[in-house]
Amino acid sequence: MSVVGWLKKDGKWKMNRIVGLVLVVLAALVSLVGCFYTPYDPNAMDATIKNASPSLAHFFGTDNFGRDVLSRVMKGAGTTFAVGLSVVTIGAVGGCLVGAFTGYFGGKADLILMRFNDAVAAIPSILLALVFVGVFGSGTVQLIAALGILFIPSFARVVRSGFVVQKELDYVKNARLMGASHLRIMFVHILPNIKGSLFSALAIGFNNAVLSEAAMSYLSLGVQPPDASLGRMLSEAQPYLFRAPWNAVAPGLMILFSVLGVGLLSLEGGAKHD
Amino acid sequence: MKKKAIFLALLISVTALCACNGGKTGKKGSEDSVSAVVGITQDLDSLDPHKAVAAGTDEVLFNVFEGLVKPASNGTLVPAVAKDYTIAPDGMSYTFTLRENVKFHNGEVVTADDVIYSVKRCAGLLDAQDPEVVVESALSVISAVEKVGEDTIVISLSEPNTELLGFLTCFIIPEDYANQESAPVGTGPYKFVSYTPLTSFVVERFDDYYGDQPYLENVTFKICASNDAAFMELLSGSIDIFPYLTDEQAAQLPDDYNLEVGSTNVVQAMFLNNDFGPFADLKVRQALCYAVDKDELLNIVGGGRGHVIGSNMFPNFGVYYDETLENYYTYQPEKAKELLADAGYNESNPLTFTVKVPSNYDIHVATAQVLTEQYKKVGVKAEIQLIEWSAWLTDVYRNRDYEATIVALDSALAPSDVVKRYTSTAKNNFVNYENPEFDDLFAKALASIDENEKITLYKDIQQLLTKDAASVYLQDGAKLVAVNKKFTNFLFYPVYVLDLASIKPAE
Repeated sequence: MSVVGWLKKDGKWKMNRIVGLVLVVLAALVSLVGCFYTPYDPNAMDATIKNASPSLAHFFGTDNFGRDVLSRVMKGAGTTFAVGLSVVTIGAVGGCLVGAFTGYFGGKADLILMRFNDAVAAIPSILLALVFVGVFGSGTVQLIAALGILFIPSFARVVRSGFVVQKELDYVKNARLMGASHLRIMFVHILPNIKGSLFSALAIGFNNAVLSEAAMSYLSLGVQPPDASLGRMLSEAQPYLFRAPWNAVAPGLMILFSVLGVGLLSLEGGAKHD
Repeated sequence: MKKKAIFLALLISVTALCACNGGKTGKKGSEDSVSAVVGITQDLDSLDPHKAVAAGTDEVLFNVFEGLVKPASNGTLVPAVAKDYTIAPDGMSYTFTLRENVKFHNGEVVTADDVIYSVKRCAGLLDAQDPEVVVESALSVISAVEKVGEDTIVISLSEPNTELLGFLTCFIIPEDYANQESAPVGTGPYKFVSYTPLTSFVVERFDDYYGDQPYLENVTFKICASNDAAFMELLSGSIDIFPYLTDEQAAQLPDDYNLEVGSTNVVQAMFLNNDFGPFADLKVRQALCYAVDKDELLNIVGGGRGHVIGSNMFPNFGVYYDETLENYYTYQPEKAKELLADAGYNESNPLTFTVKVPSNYDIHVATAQVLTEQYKKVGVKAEIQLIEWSAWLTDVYRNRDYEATIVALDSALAPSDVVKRYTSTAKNNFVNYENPEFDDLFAKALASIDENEKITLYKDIQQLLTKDAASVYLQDGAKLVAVNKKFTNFLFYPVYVLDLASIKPAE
């Protein structure tokens, strides 16, 4: 299916997909370029241009250390998205395994694991992440591990509910009669059939991960200074909200664009496969 | 996140609107009598001055209470409830002659018994000691407090100490008075009027005060929810004096306020754990000192304000402070590189360490970021790890489990208090500094009763710390105070107090 075809439905342009795609590509480009090139060293300070307003030399102005905000947003977006993707990957893989086994086999293991799942999901995620970081120390790796584990329950639920429905369908029974192993049925036959709801969960999960990273770094528990991340930048911009609003606006817009973009793209993902 | 920001903006503007109304009514009252509103950001934890833990409470109660002696703005101690004092040549006892007819705010005359009761209460020597009283550990050397005649008391010590005077500023309160916690009574220039938790603490001029009568008749300490809220009230005109301006707020100060700049009286430094492998090498520690551009640091974190220091003492210690050390380690990146190379560090084997910074102090986090950038230029990799204040107290201060840390240390008005931690046996020697020469000098300084000898010894002590590069000493930060142009003569003290009795009208 061509991109144009995907963007149209019944001959009409689908605005959510167009806008979503533009925003996501924009955010991805900024962060990808940021990995290889930034206009200035994102950590280089210059006391003579503290909190300078946006100009041609510094497109998004400078922060309270005289660092170039654009360079920091480019670098920081990369960090934030990397954390987001890692978290979603850990959550999705873990969630698929737990969800697949509990949904497919059912029984006592299902009951115990899913109640445990409920217990984890019942505790506010930020609080749990705080405890985790408190025990294992703050840092990017610890943050990814903490958030990743926290994201497992939501994926497990989605996958489990899919498996519970699918395992009763005829094609599964056929496969079993033909002698396919349980593992093969679970991951080769059933999993592809729930990809629609899984993609939605992935998109929502990514957004939540980006926002959680921002929140944790805002509480100075995630990425450690002087490294930039979008949340860390927001946190540092807070005292200068009135005098140098560009400090907060630039990373804020970046979060807004990426989260909104992914959200728009995933709007109809779930409905499509039905 | 954005929602939060908008909500915050709304909240602040609502606060500002409320504050505007408050300001108008406040100004009407000021036509009848001379009054001032002082913005503070911390509620008082107890009105009984001996039970207060927070420095912010002492700061306010300084106007209501006095000790035998009290700090003056030039860093000396001046007689207050006592008229005169002598220190025994062997440093084993202090004799105080009380001032005649000093009155408490309830009209009673201060007696020697009141003084003995107050000193004993602070030192934890009363038979029926109230467990809530915060006992001053430095006063633990007191063995007895006795009355010799009607107006003379003698404080005897168990070991020689000539610097106890700095701790005898502990407030004098009446012996038989039970309501100290609800209606405090002291001897200070202002007497208590009312206190509303989380709202205000109000005092008025005490007409029977033995000293000069203050200009301000009524003073209201307005307790604000936060620094930002207080600044909003200041912008609306309902606060006359606000002592905790940030650098950013100072830049936005309205025209009818003067900006007074003093110092915070702390030693801000990157403290090095001298037991941590690389830092055991003097050359490494010196290299770290040479690699810091303190002027750039001050420009970035303090808007160019603040005072560069070179050792573990700050300028307000006056005669004891050795200002020549400020230029001992100037910014010399090349020299730093040489020293590092001598110590065996180069590009393929860079010096790497972690600096633990308490995350609740923005100033230290900012300082850490500037330092890591400056160290990068000489090939040193410093990594920042933010930790909570409680974790800092356990890990760094108590267990000494760290490589480097950035904090600021304050001090009582006694030079021994600020350097005592470097003695090898001190419990709070968290930098693990050990030098027998230092221990020797410190013991001599503490027992010395000759002022000039003491000054020389304390300067020697500071020089030793600097030469040994015990840590990377940075700055004594600036304290920024907004004072309404109606008033003048706001005095800064080397201790944490807010003196309103000295305020004078502007010409």
